[in-house]
Amino acid sequence: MPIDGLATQLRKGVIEYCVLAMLKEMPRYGGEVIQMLRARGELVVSEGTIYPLLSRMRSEGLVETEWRDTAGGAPRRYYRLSRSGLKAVAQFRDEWFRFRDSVDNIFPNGATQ
Amino acid sequence: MTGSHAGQMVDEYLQRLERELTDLSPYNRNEIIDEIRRHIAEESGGLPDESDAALMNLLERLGDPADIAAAARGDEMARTSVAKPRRFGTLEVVGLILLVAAWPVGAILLWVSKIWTTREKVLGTLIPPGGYPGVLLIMSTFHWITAASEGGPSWVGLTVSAVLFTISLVAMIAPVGMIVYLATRLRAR
Repeated sequence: MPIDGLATQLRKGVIEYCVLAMLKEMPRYGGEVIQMLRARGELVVSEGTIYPLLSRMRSEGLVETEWRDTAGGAPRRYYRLSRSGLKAVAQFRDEWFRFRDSVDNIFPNGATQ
Repeated sequence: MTGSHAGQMVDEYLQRLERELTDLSPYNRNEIIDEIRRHIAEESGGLPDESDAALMNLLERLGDPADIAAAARGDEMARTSVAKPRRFGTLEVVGLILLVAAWPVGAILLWVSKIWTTREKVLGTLIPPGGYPGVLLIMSTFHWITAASEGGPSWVGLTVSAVLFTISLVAMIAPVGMIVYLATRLRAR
């Protein structure tokens, strides 16, 4: 697997849960989610792909949406975590830290190895 | 951002996106296009007039419409594969019928199904215990109670009759109510 393909695969597996975790804090609109992802490093390459992701999460019942008016601007669609979304985040968190620890154990010297 | 060239760039981008998304279900397609259109409008609102470079940068960050479409297709496939096992079928329908007619079998099917939550399964199993066979069993013991109360004063007999009548009524309605409830939970999935 080419190394950039590897990064894509890794991102694909976690991005959904990163978005859900951000929505756990408070309801957010798509642009806000994208800005946060951008500020937190290299989690997303094509920012537009967040919208199909949000759409799927809504149809799977992980998030719920509501329109909110903005001062002077067009209304925004806000995404709020549902109960099953909350459960998914908790499951991911447990799984992720176990997984991360296992990998870290194999690379005991971190990035310098 | 009001420049006509800039507007043209956005239009072209959205048209390409629309073309790339044609094989998606109309609902998903419209939702994604609508969100991306809003995203561009909002983000470009802060750009200086005629700033093609800044707008180009915005569209580049959004990504190639083909990449967005690929992600959307992948997501739609994932959605179908996730949704499938959650769809109800013969098992659930037969389970609901048998829950009233042949309670033990119906209750087993209720627990075998992956559609209902544990709470719904507990409710479906316990209200009423035994479905209609259980109801008949409970009611068949009533004449013993009625017979036992006959020796006492008349108000005792009356009260006992009224209580038994109420229990019978609830016991007759409860199974139907429970089936309707479980069926609505099925449709909610």
